Amino acid sequence: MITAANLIPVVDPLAGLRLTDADRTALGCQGFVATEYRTRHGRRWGPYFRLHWRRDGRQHVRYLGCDATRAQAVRAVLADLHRPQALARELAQLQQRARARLRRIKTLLQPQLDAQGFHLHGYVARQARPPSPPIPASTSLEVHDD
Amino acid sequence: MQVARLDHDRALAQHLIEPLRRWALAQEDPVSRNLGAELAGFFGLVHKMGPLVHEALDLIQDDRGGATSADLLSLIEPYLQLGRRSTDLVRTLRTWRRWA
Repeated sequence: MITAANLIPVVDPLAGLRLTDADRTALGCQGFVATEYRTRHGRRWGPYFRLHWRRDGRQHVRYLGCDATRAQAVRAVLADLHRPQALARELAQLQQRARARLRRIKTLLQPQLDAQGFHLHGYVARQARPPSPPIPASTSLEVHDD
Repeated sequence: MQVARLDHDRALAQHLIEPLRRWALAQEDPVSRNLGAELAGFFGLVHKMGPLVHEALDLIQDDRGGATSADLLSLIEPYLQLGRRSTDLVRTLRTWRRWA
């Protein structure tokens, strides 16, 4: 089905920047758009935008010009490319903080439960089982030879 | 997306974390007070992870996670484990409050 969205040409903001496949792979992990100003004859010009990234241990730069809309589009593409990593980092941090809180909760709760005859099995309170009564001598499992 | 996340975090603070914290601060027993505060923080963190986990699952499903897909997938099981532990904790707290 033809819709208005289908008819709008999709323009890749990274197109025209002479990026190799290796560059695009590197940009999937890092890279940023820097805003710079230039001073000439005492006057401040700009802002100018540059795309910076690192590949094979070397810094690479592409000039984006002074079009703020283009710079914003490149920033959006980078944010989209970096999202999985940012998400993984954020989730890992939240899980680490949650586990630390769990440990503190357990430390606080353990003595309280101990005083009531419970113990923690993982995070579940269990009551200590009373000791089993001694087995009467008559029911001993001795083997008699008849 | 950002706005939706901010709304979620605000609702979380308003309806879950703050009432729990208020309950904790109203306790006379210092252990209950401390525990309540820690619990409020813990439940807040677990609920904050929910939308992120859904986003991670979407990225994995649509094959948009790239090289990070494996990392994202490895974070799903710990999240479920934290959820199970929070359920266990609620049961334990009920036991403790019954006997305390």
